[in-house]
Amino acid sequence: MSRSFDVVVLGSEPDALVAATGLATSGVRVLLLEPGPDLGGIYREIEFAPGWRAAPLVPDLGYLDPQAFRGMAEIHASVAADPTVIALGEGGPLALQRSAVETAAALRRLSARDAERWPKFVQQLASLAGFLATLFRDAAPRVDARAIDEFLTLLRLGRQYRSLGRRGMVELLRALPISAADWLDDFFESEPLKGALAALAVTDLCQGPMSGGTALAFLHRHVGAAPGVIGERLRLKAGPGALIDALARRARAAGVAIETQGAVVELSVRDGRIESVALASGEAIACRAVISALDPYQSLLGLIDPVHLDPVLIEAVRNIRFRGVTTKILLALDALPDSVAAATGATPTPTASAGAAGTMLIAPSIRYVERAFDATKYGRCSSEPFVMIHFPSAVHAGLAPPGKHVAVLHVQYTPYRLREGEWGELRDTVSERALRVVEAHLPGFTSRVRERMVLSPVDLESRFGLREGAVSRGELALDQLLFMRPVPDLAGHAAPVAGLHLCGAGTHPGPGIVGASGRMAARAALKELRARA
Amino acid sequence: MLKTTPFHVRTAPLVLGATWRRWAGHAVASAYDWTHEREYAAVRNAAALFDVSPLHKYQIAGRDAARLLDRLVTRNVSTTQIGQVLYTPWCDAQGKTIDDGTISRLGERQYRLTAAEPNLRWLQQNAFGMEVEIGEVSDAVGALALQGPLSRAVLDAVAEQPVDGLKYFRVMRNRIAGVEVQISRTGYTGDLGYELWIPAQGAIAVWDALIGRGADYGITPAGIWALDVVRIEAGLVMLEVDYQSSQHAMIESQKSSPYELSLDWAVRLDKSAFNGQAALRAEKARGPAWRFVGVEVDWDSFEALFRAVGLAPSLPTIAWRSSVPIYRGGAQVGYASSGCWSPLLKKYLALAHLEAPHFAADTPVEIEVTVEHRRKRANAWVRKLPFFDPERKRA
Repeated sequence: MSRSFDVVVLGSEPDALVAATGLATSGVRVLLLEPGPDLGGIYREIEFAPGWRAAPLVPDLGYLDPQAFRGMAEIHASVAADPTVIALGEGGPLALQRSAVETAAALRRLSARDAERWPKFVQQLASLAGFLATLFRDAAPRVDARAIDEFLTLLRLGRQYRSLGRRGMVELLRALPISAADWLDDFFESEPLKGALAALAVTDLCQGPMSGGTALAFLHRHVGAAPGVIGERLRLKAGPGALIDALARRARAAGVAIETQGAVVELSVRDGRIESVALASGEAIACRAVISALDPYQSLLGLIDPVHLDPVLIEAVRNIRFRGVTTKILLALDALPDSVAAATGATPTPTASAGAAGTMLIAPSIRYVERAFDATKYGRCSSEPFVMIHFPSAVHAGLAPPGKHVAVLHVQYTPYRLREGEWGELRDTVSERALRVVEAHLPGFTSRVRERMVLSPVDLESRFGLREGAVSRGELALDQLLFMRPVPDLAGHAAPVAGLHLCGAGTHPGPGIVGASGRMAARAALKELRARA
Repeated sequence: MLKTTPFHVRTAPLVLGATWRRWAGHAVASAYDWTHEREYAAVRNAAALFDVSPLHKYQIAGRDAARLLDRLVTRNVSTTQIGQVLYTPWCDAQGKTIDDGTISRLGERQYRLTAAEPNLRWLQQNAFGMEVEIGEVSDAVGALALQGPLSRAVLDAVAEQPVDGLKYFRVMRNRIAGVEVQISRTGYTGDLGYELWIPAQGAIAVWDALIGRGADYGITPAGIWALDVVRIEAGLVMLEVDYQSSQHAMIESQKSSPYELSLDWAVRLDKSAFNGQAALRAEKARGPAWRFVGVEVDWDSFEALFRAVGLAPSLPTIAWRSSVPIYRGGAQVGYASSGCWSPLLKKYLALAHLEAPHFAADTPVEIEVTVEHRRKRANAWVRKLPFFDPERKRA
């Protein structure tokens, strides 16, 4: 006898688990299928050397949607790094601290004017990111709103927008389309500061800080950040995998059936409606709806016979920009190099270093980051990439053997599509270049490296199922946000095939806003199920 | 630059009155004589030869050829036999018509699609994820339509294989003047007729053979004016005249579904998934808001309008292609999109779009007629299409 569920959820990252739990709580029979052996996808640590583990793609959990995570005690066991960002460069490290006053004091060394403007900057950042947060609370309003509830959403947003004040409204409209470089130039003059902030803006983007729309990316990444805090939203003491464990527990308690090794090969459609999911094992599971947390390209073009889709939509989905540009290098370290401790200003202990909990950033100027991007325009890897360094073991000691450490290098720009050569030949070169850059800023670092694993965009695709190696599941750009994410006709989390709903980073509100899309997709699916019942 | 067809060197000297026109970027004759009457008469009484090379033609081959066509068009392609030809419209996902044309199954996995407008991009968009080759063969293949009661006799005289056994909407391989051709029993005239699909390099040889041997049967090169009249008699819809492609329409109301074009018979809702299936299913359940019908103008009423100003009735011998209001009970209920005087039926005919419920056959309506610069209305009736449907068309 073949199995049957009301809803099948594809994937096991937080949005999938949130959606599954939401539906099960409403009395819907839900099956969640994770294709791999473990739940959590990119949130799960991988062992890259015997005894060393890391989840290289989730240095920070992002903004957890308050409604989706309501009542979950586990999310309060977090670490607050201070400083959150340490920018390395000439003239010594610049620490961005949680306190705007302290950061301003640190900036005085570089520029009295910048120091004076810092509090204004973080205030505006909080105000604009706060507006985006309200925008991300609900399904993206459609510009051609016809339904009354959509109209009310627009109206509420309109009020919220007005509440920014005349200046705030202008600032927002100005910030959305401009480049991070122009936006930062409005405030600051010191290159080390602007370089670091610009690098944060363009993280994982196939754009340089002088590209339009990158100021918005910076704002997007600070939705849900504590006021004044740069480059950090939420990091659990027990690592990102702990979030998955907690969500899975909650899902099971709500009655969700969870299965791993459940790779789905096709969503079967009949008369424009999802009828069942076909597994690699050959099993077909009947269902009334599917919520897919896979990327929109995979959900629509990888799993559905294209004859069921509007060719115009197919073209739009094919045109979603993914364009991964990041290589992650996982390093097993004998010890935290002394230079790291020196840069953080903290004394290292045998097991952990509080100062190393933040992000170290090698992006000494906007020009440096833009030049690194230039190479990508021509299908090459930067010879001088910008590098972000995380030490996950500084937060979660269990990731490395006692006294040892894990470092994850985020290396950008290294395009998925190379004009010449293949990634197989380039991996070592990229790794050498990155370590050379790091060594120049943190002397003695390389000598501490015992093992390494290099994950190019191509490796990220094959290992984690990230299309084109893009952790964003669709580049974070103005034209791929809100009602245009993943594509204009697919806003509202409902796909063109009845019964299919999309969630995850590839949908509104996008990468780094966790749980909201799962919550909205579940709501949309429930509404549809009830309308049909 | 205006292109010419593979037959141009033969057709050009025949055009007496410089009556050239553009058709899909090509120069073709509106008429070869000063007027088209003789050419029209040939279609209905002998054999007329139309150069229809400007049609867009696509060769579709490969494992998924039938799957592509089936997702594209509203008729069932998968059940088509080799040598069969289908007339079909095709729609966007909203069930609005993009174009219409024919699909010929030429081999196990080989088809040819003809279209009024360029469709290559749409075909490629539809072919996503499919193993299929789409070849644009519009220039490589010349096309002639040999139409009229004697067309079969002409072909039997010139073709290597007899065409006697070729049934309506079937296609065969054949050879004329040593040139490999395909002959389909299809046309745009509503009469007995054939279309010949000829490699461009063999075009002249085939033309010469047809004209040479066809002389005994009164073969007559004919232009678009003659074609326009016969296709109205046959009740055949014309893209960008009677309806707009949904891909060019500026507003929603300019689009038409196949039901609104009265092409119900060409929509197979129960086949596998195709573009517009869900929308068409809903439309069928609801009933179409518009229908495409024939309108016959009442002669006495028409004549009276002219008599009132002291004129004899003025008849459109060349078919018009414009929007003419149709009224019922004083209110406008639709519009005619083409019309002409039918010399054969001796009737003034029009093709019209009428709103529900005014489209039932024999409903009395009024059509606008301009008499000496003033707009009048003549009585007319809604008629079932086609106006002219001779047995020989299928026999």
